[in-house]
Amino acid sequence: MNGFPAFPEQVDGLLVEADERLPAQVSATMGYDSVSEIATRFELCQSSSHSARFNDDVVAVDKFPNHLGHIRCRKSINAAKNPAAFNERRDRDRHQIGFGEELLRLGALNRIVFGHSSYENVGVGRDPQRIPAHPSAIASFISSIEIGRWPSRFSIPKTSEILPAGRAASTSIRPFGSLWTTTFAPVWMPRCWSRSFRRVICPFPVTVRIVSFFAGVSAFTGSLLPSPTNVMSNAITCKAVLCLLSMTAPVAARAQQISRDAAARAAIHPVASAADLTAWLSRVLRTRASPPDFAETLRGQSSLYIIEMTTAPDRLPCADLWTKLGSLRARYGWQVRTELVQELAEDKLNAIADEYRAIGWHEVGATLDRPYDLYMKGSMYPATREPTEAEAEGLAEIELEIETIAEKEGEDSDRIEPLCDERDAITEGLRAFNAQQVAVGGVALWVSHDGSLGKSFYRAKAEPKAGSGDPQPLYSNSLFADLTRIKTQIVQEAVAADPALALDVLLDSLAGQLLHGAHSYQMAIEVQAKTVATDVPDELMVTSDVRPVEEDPLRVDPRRGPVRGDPRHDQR
Amino acid sequence: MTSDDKMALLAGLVAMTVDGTVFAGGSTGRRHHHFEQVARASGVDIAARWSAPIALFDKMRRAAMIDLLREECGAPSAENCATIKKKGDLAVNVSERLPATWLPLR
Repeated sequence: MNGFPAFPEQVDGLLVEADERLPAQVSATMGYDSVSEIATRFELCQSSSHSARFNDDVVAVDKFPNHLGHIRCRKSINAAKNPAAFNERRDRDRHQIGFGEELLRLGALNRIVFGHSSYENVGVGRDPQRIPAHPSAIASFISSIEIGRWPSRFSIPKTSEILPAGRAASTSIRPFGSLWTTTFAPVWMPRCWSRSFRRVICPFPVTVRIVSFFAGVSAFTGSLLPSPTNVMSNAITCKAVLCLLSMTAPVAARAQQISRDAAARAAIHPVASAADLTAWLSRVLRTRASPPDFAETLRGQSSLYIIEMTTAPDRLPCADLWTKLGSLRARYGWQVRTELVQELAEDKLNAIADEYRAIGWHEVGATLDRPYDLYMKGSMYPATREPTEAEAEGLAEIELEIETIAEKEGEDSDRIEPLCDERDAITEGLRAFNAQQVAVGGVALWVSHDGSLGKSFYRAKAEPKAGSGDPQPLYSNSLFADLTRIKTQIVQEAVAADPALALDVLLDSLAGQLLHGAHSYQMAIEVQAKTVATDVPDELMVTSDVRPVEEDPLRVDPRRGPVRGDPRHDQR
Repeated sequence: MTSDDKMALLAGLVAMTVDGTVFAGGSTGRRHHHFEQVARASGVDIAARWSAPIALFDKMRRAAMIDLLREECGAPSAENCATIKKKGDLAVNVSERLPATWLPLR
């Protein structure tokens, strides 16, 4: 057998071995911490000497830097208390959803499948189309692949009546692509048939479970492993369903029992650091030659390959693996199913929603997409409470200190900024949803396009109608809004007739925004002014006396002469 | 374009951006405080430029109109109009009884 490289160009460091008997190899995207490695082998084999094999290696890291983090190991974020943390932290909490969002952008989020069991190390897991789970059967099937008894994948059956009589079959709706799937005992026969677009295909599920431990690294490939015990950390189930055109003859296979020790010797390559990993990789044989039509062949048969990633909700996929699967999809048009992330995102959202419910919000909704009718609901903003005595004293002290520093050292003193931050922190703390708002308020949670947590607060419960004794407002909300528009029209007319006033209003707005830090929405005119950054290194300006205008807007204009307040003007 | 024309254009453009509106259900804020300053600075007489039409009272609740009459014209006037059954007729009566310079928002 000759080894076929899955990635002739070695994209993303994915290694393919020329040696057919090489065990799992490693390619890794380095994590921040110790790196563990896991090798997964996706095999597409044929019987006899024409069998083709290509191995994809994936690496799991104990700390996933760029993908869904391990939920159980993470310190949960109290979104209600610290809503921004979901998006601010540069760790897995953010990447969990971020990863999901990436898949959302890829349009593949609706095609993920999760498994629901965990296995120590890498083993053979539950058959996605078979209930109850039968890992050993899958293992046997995989072993049968490895021993080479594989029918020609190019033989296309005319019908699906190759199902052996008497086999107990189960039918399930597949998530995408196929209309239905029939599954039956896996050992000696093809695992399942499905009718897809009037063509019978035979997907071969290869389920690989990957577990990385806190202290070490472990990996097994395609082997029979016992049920898990003491699984401590991240686990991932990757079900690679290699769809082949169904065969004219059933697959003959024998389970190849591999001991755990043998599997460990063959596939585990513990490394503790990036240097170790690099050193280990340097010993790996690389594919140096591949059939010239390899890429074209795979691309032409893209409809035959489906890769499903599955995992338990509290498990995490490896970003490296996902990158490689994405490369497969991009390079060869393979289908990669990613419902996995959807469930993870939903779990995350539900956990956050529970936190809001615990606070007592009247209505909490968590959906992957932003609710379409959110605009119809009245937004709710946090109320500003009166500062406590301590807070008031603190604010007064800060203000006094700022004034003192400004007088002594000027308003540009570096000591002022920390004080302003402290003051702003206290002021921000005064803004919060009070109990009345929570009692009638609603919270909508969703996954934003950038992967962050999107949330909106709105009034979910109508305001109680005023009692007969309560004073009624004279004007309805809409009428009040109309009246403000009428008044605005009248004032606009007056301003338009008074250019001097208009100039004053404009200057007031610009100065308020650019010089005094006011926001455009606080000004009477709807003009948003922003300072344009013109920062350049000082060494590039040593030959010029031009200085940024924002340093002194009242400085001399060299073309028009001095302006008031300019010291050079005074000297003249 | 002369300087006066430019200033007139500037005034018109700035005036287009003056915003003292409140969306339905919203509340006034710092912007509206600023807007009121501009309104006072302009010296505009709102009553000279606009008076409440009957349509305004048509949009008001019946009880609100009675309360308005009681506040502006006294209790007898309000009780008298309270007997009017049709809301349209009540709006006309309220419009006629209120002073010509009455403004809803003051």
